[in-house]
Amino acid sequence: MVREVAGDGLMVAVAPYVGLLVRGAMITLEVSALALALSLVIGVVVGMVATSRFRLPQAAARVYVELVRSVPLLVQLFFVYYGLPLMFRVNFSPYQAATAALSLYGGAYMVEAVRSGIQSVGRNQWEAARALGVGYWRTMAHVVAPQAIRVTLPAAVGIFISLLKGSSVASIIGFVELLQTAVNIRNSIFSLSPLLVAGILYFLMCYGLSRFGGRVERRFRYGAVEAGRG
Amino acid sequence: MVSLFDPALFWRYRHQLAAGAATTLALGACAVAASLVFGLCGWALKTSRHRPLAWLGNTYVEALRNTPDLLYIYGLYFGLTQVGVRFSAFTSAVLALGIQGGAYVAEIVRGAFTAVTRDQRLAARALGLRPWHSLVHVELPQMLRVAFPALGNQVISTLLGTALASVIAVPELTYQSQIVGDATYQYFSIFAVDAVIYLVLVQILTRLFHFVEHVWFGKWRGTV
Amino acid sequence: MTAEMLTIDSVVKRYGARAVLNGISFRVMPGEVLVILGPSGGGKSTLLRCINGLEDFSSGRIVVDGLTVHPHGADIWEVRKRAGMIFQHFNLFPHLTARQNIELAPRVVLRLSPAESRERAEALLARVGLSDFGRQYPGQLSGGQQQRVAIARALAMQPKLMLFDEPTSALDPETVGEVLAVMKELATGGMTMIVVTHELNFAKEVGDRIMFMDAGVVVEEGPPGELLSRPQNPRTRQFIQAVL
Repeated sequence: MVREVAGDGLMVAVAPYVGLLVRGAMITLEVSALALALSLVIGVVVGMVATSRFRLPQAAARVYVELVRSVPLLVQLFFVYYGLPLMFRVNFSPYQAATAALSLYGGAYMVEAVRSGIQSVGRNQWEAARALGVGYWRTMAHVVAPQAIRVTLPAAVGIFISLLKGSSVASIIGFVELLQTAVNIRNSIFSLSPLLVAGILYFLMCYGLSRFGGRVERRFRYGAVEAGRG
Repeated sequence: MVSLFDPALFWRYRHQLAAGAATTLALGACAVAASLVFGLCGWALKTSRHRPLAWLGNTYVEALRNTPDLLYIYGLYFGLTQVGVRFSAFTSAVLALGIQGGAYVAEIVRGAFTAVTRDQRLAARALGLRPWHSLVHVELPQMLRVAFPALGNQVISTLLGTALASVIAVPELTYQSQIVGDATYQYFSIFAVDAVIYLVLVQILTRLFHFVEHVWFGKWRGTV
Repeated sequence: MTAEMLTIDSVVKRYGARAVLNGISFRVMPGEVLVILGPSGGGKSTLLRCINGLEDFSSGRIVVDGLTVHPHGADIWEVRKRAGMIFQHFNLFPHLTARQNIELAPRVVLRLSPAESRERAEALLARVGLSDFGRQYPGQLSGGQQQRVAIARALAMQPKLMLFDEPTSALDPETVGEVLAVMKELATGGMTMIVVTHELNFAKEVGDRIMFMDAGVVVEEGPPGELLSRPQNPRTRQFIQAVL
């Protein structure tokens, strides 16, 4: 497929750079995985706040989610990379800024995933646990979380895919990940082929993940009861 | 030395920002229109009875949903010169966002089409409505209701995606903000203002969609 | 001269190896009301759908008012104009008001003017007793009202033959009567009707002839009084006892 689109000559030109592009893909994967881990932390903490009974933190959680979902990722990234250092006299490397912005971005979607996961567990589960004298934290950990994960985990896979794709935006602040690697190579060999190879690498990562996500979702759908005990 | 946080920046550069917002909206509108065209074509291919066409449709949807949009903005703007085609920055951005959005639109349309029941199509045929009339008068209005919320979200994510056009110097909102930031060094303030403008645009659109949904579809409670 | 309104001649329909219709033949004369009884899965609905080409059949011949039915032939659109169909679940269009549901086909199929189609719709709404409900959407109507709108919608095409596929099975018991009343009035008006139903009283009162179908064949047929009170076939007897 690559040959048909780019032509033989172009593929020969990009051949020496494939290793470089794969390295770029690894960086993309790394920063996305790190951001995923951090969004998970944000998601769990803020998600629990959002489903709690406390009004003010609840409203704050909603504002955070709404804000992140209504502003382009690029603007969030610019804000973190160019804006925050001026205000707080800190300096971010592109890597740190990208990780921070992507975590905040993924975190907002994760809050929703965690919230809908927790809300998918019926009230009666809480009541049953309370009737047995089990407290909030233990109920959350042993009863609710294992069931919520059926909804949250497939959504988390989707968020991981968004982060993989979204991390390409960090190339704009000079973070050399997969897309920026491809653009750099393009600028030296003047060929579309590095972008094409980058596209294929993105596809392999994201499509592989989405297939995996589909499997996870199906498994949880059919094995719902077993998963609940996990 | 200027103060670090200066909301008055908004007023001083209002003309630039307004022009940027107008370009953002124009770009967004064109990209949404393009994504509807690509989406309908993608859906038609996907549901084609000819295997190669269906394969093409599926490949389009899967390939585009699993790669970043920035790749297409770069690809269309820089890349196609090799083949001798050259698009303006604006056109490149419209096409890139349209092609990408189309993959999602194709999935939304597919979902809506399956949601209109077989019974509805049977009833239309039994009344003697030709396939075309059935599509226009019976199926499309119902598909639109099913697809409307998802299409609304798609419009909003396309609007947010237009910010990426700043990398190829389309003078939209984020590009203008960068210019102002570079001139004043007040990045914190200007990107805060920028974010608020996007927030307001998105909120207006969200409300508008809810309103339209209520007016158009409010009375159809309960499918038959 | 009394040409048949409908001729069914050794019609077979197979799904894979299973025959849903296994050689069915009968005729319906103009003005006749034929009631088809039988257990579900016996092929009754399939038969109705074959008559107006909503489903394909494997072999045999169906002729509606002189037109031979080929599900993919050009004549099928003419057949559908002449044979109206009423579905178990009404299948009204949820995005159109009751009146718009009735107007749609006359407007786009018969190309009547808006004024003409509207006039026709109003007259039909009055005929099914729903003059005041023209502006309601299907979701706002009861099941019985919806089915009456569906009957008006079919009548708007001025069909010569009406096919009813279990028209009252999905209704609350209290609204069954209003739909049967409309059907009875149609029958008295001389409409040719084929009614698949479980309403034995309706069959007895309105039907000219009853046909009992099971496993894709006509088991028994005859005048209502005879067939319902002295069924010859054990399968018919069993069914009638179960329904009563």
